[in-house]
Amino acid sequence: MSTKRITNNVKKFKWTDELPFESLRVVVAILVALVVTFLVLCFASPNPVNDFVSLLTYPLKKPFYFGYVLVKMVPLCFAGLATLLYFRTGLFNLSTEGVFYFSGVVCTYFAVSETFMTGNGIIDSAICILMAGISGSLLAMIPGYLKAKFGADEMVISLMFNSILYGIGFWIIKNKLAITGVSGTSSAPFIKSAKLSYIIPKTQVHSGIIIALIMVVVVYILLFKTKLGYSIRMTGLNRNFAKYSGMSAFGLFMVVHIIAGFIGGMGSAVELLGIYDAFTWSVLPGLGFTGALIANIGKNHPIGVLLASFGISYLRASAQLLANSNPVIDIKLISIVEVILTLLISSQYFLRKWREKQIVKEGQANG
Amino acid sequence: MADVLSLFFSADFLFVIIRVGVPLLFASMSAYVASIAGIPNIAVEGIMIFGSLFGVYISAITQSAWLGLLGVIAVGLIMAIVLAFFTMKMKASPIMIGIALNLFASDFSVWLLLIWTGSKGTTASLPSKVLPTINIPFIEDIPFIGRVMSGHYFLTYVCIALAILVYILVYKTPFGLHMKACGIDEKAAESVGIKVNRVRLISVIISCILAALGGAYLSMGYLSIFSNNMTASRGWTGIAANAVGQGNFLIVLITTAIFATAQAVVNQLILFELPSELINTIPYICVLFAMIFLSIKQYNKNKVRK
Amino acid sequence: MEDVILKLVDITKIYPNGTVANKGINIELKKGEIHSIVGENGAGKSTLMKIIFGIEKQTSGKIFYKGEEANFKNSMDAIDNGIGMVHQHFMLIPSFTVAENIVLGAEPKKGVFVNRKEALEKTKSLAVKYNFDIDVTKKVSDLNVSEKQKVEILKTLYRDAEVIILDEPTAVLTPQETQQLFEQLKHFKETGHTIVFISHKLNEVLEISDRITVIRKGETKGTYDASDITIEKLTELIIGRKLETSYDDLKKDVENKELVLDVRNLTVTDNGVKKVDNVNFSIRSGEILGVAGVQGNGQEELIKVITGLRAHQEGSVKLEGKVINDLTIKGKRNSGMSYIPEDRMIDGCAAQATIQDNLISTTYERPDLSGKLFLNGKSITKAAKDLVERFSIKTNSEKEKVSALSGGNIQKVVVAREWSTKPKLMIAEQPTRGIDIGSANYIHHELIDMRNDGAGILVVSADLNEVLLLSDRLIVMYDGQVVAHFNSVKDVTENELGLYMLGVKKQSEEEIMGACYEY
Repeated sequence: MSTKRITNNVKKFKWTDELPFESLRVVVAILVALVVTFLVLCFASPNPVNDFVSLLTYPLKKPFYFGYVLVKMVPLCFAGLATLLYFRTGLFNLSTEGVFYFSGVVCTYFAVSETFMTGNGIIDSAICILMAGISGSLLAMIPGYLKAKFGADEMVISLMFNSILYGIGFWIIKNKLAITGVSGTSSAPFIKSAKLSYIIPKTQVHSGIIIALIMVVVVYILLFKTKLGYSIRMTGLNRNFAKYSGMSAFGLFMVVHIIAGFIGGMGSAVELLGIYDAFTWSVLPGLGFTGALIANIGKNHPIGVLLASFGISYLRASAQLLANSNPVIDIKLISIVEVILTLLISSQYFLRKWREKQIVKEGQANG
Repeated sequence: MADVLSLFFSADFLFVIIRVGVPLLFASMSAYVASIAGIPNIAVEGIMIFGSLFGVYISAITQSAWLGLLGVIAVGLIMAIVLAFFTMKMKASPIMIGIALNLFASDFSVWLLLIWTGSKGTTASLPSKVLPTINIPFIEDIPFIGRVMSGHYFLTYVCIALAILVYILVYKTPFGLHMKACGIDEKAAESVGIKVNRVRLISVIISCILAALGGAYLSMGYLSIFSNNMTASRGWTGIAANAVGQGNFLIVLITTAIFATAQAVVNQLILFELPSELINTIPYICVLFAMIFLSIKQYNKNKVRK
Repeated sequence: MEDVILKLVDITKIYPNGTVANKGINIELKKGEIHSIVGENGAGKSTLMKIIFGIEKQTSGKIFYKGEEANFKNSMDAIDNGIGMVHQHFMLIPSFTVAENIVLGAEPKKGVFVNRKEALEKTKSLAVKYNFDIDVTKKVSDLNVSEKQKVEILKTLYRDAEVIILDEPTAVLTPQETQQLFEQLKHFKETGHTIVFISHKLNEVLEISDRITVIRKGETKGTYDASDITIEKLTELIIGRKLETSYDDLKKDVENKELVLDVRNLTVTDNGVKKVDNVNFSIRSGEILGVAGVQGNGQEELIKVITGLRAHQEGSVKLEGKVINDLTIKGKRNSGMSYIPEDRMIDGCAAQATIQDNLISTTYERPDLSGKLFLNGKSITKAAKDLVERFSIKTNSEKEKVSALSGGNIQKVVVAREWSTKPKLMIAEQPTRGIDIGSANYIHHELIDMRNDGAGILVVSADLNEVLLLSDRLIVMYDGQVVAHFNSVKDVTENELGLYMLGVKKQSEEEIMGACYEY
């Protein structure tokens, strides 16, 4: 009896346990995604092996390239974190896209105007990021209120909302913030002091990445260490249970929209002030859907989102850098990896048979 | 001002409503057929994108619009199988699968465009074919009605015929009864021997082919090229129309007609010197308000229960 | 009469997760008999029925149907071969009419279309033939429970079922409706149908059956002629020990009883229909008030309004003298109310969250468990560990997911959490539904302990036996109204309750108002 208890307490590592199994699923999904990408390249490219290898290794060749990966990661990370909060609450809200675009316009409004800028780099960037964040919160409150009060279908509403914000934002840029005499869509240039500084020599990596990493930690703490995070998680897992336990869905939905909108708005300003000299977005950035994929691939966990946005950005950056010299590689090619990862990771039955077999085997081995 | 008004009260305007309404109707029907069988098809937009791209590409390489159309149907079928496999066999959330397929379609189509044409914008350089325009004998000679009803694209008439068929399928056949049963309570459907997965698979196939045809309409009639982002949220508009209809096909049709009218108004207004960015948001605002109206209505209905 | 129609030989079923549901089951069904299968919840009855009906596949063993080996691939196959099943949870489409529900899956056709006229005629004549008084053009959502059950039975008859399996058919019926059902079952026996009757209500089983097979822990404990066996013997076979018949020894007299809950003139209207109609009652500390009634007579709405899950409309609810009508759920809980909900999986827990997270959902804002913003992880884990131990919840760790627990242990998690707020008023709705007898017994004891410690308890249960066992006082609800009040349950019989539950009898206004304490 006593020996048995001891063996029970020493936990043996098993692939069938929850965390190792989930990690295994992700690894297998990544392998499948890469294999399919290779197969697609075989159809399109005269030299698929070469192309595939460079796709996987190109960012490692120069610090500048790797820096580009980190730069591309920042907006994905922000979008993933914002969407993660929605998903954790059980909301399929894709408004990060429109919020990102319009908050960028708001950020531009402050960043191009001498009246608001003090000349101090830190204060000026902070003002712009804060204003974009606040506008993000205010914007997200609109679909948030409709959802919280009336239970409106947040997905369709957020998508329509995106298109509307885009139309209005684009109009403002063209008519209110553009400089005269320049063709194409562009605002006046940002004032130097508003821009984020580069932090790693020979790369474009700017201080925004530090803000992104801080936000990962903030969201982690929010979700797992605070009372608010607890009620977010319970509401997302079972809304009836949360209500029955005395949590108010209305207040919670509003707070989640405000926080997620703020993160989206911040992300927009960080992206703009980090790598742009003026507002030049003429289409929606596509971050609503991408954020949803990142959150999903990252299993709705802040650390997962960080890893997922790094992985996706690694491939996207690599593809974009290669696109200049290689006619078959383009950033859009990476959508194959993204879709396969999402399909497999969200499949409850993916590898489930294998796991059951292993458990049965173990059971037989133990008698 | 008189000019503006006369534009809105003419046979031409009704003609335009039909012209812009057809892709919306394809999208609404697509969303409708899948959702009443219990699998919400969120991927309508993405499937429309693929439909329009492959229609152009296949018609260009085969030099036949009809083979192009066949290819579009095949694309719809493939998307249906992916959607059905992951939602039904792999138990993935249909919403996540839909989101993934939409993003995939909008990005991967650009890559294909690049591979096929060397440009990321349009297929203008491909010698693609369009489906014919049809003048209906006799009807075209009737004064007002002729100008409204005749002279549309081939797929317009296909769409109207399909709308009638969908109505009959859902409301008059055993299969329609089975679809609704699967959508309301799959366990109950299963208990009387309805093969839930089969019913849903067929519904998803119909749904995806409808969406793909909607895409083909855009690139093989409405326009004669595929261009990046040409679906412009029409798929989502269809999903919204279906949501407003709440399982009632006639309400879905009426809602779609309202959305089509909004789009037609925009198409007319754009001719005037007005800021196009703002005018273009009108259809979205219209859908947004329809959704808000719907939820407030439901909210008031459920108020006492809460 | 002696023909064996269905024979199960050595049926064993092991689920992929290792649960052994059936172990070498042997049963013979004779043509034209009513054969009961009895056993505890979780004894393996449902699995066995699913195997017969082709929904599950046995791991080993054989089924012989009409002398030939039969393995039904799916429920359709079983239906085609003349086996029908009336599920415990009705398999009906609420927005369809009775006729549509009956023909669903086997619709009469005209070309490719549904022949609605023929469907109506066929279902109507079927109802007439078997003496079912039902309007086939009505929507199923407008029917009451016993009518819905009739539709289920008609569904099997429409498909020419020879063997009809009824899974706990009387659980939702009043004694009188049960009698009506039994008359019909006897009629089916005469027309050559074989009835498989699954139940754990032993007096009913003895009354209706020709033969009875007992299942315990997945194994058959023999088949008996109903005329040869007593209820005591059956009970012993089913649970292997004697059932508790009274908790009187456990109940202690509580001193200084004070008014805890006072409900006055409570009315709930839904789309113009009075779901709860002018209900009055009160509960004192150290007392259990039971609510009996057929499901759907306003109990659910009553509880929802008192607990705050539904908006308050008319009347007043006082907790310890304080009006709590319009308080939020949180406000009501903070005033000392606890609530074990009807369905633990819908309201009672978040299955994908850990046991710990489930145990603190109503207490996590307590000063010892959290500060202004942050949770206090250590003390939460300690509190959870204590509760797991105190309620002997069977698990390796409080960090495991609730979904990994058995039904009985999940219910213990719910009860532990609601207990942990030390409530003045505990509302227990179907506190032991669908769980094993061991856990049910445990929960009953906990409720009585809470009563002895001075809590006021409101118990709503569809299980009359449970209500009678637990309650000090009892009210009966019918059609949204309180129709009877009993100051003591000692001399109340199930039959007498049945008359009130059906609305046949109603006490005088004065007697009913006895449910309230004046002060």
